[in-house]
Amino acid sequence: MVDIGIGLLGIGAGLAIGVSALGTGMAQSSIGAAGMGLMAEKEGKEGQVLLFLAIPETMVILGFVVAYLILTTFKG
Amino acid sequence: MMQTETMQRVRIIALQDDVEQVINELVDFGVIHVTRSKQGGAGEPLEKFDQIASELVWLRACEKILGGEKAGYAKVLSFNGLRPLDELLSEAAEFKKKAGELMAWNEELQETRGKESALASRMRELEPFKNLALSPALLKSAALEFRHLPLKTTREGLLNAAKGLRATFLFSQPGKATWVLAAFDSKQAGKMDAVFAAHCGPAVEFPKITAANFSEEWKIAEKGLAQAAERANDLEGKISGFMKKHFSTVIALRYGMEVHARKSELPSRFGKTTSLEIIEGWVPFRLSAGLGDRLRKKFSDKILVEMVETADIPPTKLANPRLIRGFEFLVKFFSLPGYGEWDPTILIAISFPIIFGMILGDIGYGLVALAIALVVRKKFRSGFFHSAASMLVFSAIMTTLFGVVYGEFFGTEELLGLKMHPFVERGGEGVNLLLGLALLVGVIHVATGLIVGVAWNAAMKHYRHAVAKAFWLMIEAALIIISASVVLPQFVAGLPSPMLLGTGMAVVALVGLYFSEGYTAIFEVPSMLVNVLSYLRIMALGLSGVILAKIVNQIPVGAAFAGLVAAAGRADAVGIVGSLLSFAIFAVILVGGHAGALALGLFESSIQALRLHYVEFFSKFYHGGGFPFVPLNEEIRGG
Repeated sequence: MVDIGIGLLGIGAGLAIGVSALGTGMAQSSIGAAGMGLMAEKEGKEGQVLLFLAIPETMVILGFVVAYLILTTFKG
Repeated sequence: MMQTETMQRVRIIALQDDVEQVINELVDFGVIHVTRSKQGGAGEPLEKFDQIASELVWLRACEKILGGEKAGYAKVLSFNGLRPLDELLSEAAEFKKKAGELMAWNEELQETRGKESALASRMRELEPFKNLALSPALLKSAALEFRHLPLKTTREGLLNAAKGLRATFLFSQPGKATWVLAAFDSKQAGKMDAVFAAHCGPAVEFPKITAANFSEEWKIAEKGLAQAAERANDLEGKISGFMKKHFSTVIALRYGMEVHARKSELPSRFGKTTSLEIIEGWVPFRLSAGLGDRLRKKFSDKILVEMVETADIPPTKLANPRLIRGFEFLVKFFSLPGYGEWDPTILIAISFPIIFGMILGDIGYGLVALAIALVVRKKFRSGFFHSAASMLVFSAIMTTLFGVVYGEFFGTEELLGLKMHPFVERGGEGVNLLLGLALLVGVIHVATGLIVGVAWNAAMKHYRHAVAKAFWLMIEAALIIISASVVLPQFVAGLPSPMLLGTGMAVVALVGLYFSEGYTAIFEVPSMLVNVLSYLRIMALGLSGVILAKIVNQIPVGAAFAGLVAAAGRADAVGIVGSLLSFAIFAVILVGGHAGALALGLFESSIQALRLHYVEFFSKFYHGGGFPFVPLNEEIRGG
């Protein structure tokens, strides 16, 4: 029989990475669309577009770290 | 090492009679970025430009008719130097004679295509009538009305609906649809309209024809279309044959003319007086004296070369050693350094491969990536692929070295049957160490960016900015001490009251930031923490890569091979075939899986390493916004 606490830790870890991934995806969808528009209008802006597109990715990385900490630290 | 090329503004004043020779001399010299002169009146292209432009229009028209680029003929050509204009013009004149018939064929082809299109349209119009061998004269009557409509229901349905009305119908099936030619008493048009609405589609108009009947007219159009198509094919064949024979000549002539056109057009950027031409541009400082000497030697006292002081912003020319030049692409991709700004290529050449290697870190993947990079580098001598391959060489070497650190070979911990002992294990307890290492790389990388920011601002005498960067560096140090005193107190045990020290440093740095950058800087302090934490992606992506490789390694190739050996031992023919088949399938999946994992690893490692440079590292010191130095010889040659 699995302890309910372990299940809740799993849900917590899943939420940490899942919600942060959703947030990143939502942010990147708007930035990506705007970036495509910018590149269509002006050549040579690929670097800046890539930069802006990459900024929200930190959220999902932090989500991953939080999930890892939940599973390793609290699980004991 | 981080300086860009120092530029010198030069002004050359020459006689108008010598301008063509001066241009030739400048193109030979090559390393000059010609700008629009603000001196004198507006310049004009050389007189011969009009003739060259008109030849170019003709040659481009020829090229379009021949359509060789689509067929890949342009690729087989190579250009060996620029031929003199007179020679090109003479060859173009010769070619024009031969191309007379090409132009005639093309004209006829266009006409034939037009005819084909008109006949196809006529056939679509006649299609519903093609089975009607009726003369239009029969369809004229004072008492009767005629309609031609597509049948929507059935013949019986229509006949039943029209029962009792004075109407007769002729059915025909020219294609898939059934058509009905209806003749009825004009006085019953209202009733017939209701019948048609229920059973037929909209009526079509009777086309005007010149033949005896509709069917005959359709046959004439069909025959005409076939003849036109045959003639068009014939003409296309002739044009294609001409292309195979002469396309290389057209391309070579066009290329040569374009170069001469660019040279002839150059004086439109010069300033002009009644008898002089004024040329202005940027030359690398170390070559500027040499240019002056060269021009004076060629034109003696008929030319004046001045080194000019100006407030105009010069173009940027990077000056890196050949070994790391491939990394210039990453800097240019973001933004070229502004003139005088430090070029971060050397820094990116050091840290990019390290971060890339830390993420991918596998001996097997590193060696495969190195082999790919060397092959691509050999195949492409310049351009994007050459730069990318050059960067990949360094990155692959670091991947292999980190593979040794992690003790991984294609996701396994064995190399040639020997068990490897990782210095840092990417799994289990080793993950905490990896997490710490990723943060350490982040701390060092961000601190390096800030130190470069302090040094560059100090060198540029932007002391306020230099001090602000120093306070940011202090904030980073304070955050490290405070975090360490909570998480790893043994590391700061040597410091007196580390928490107090860290807090004190943070307060001093915040006050300093307030005075040097204003209160908004204080709100940006958490970004420093986020910047460092962002480097945790090194650990996160590395772990996901390892897990992917381990999943691929689950494919039971070894078991299939053992089964094959066992079957061979039993001399079981069916067993051998079955085992061989399963071994082959699993081997293909294993190789394909690792190829996919490597492709994903290369892509992710590049993108994420690049992101850490562009967002976390460059934001500490780099501005960019420079415009490129375009050497005249490259501009004239067309890249």
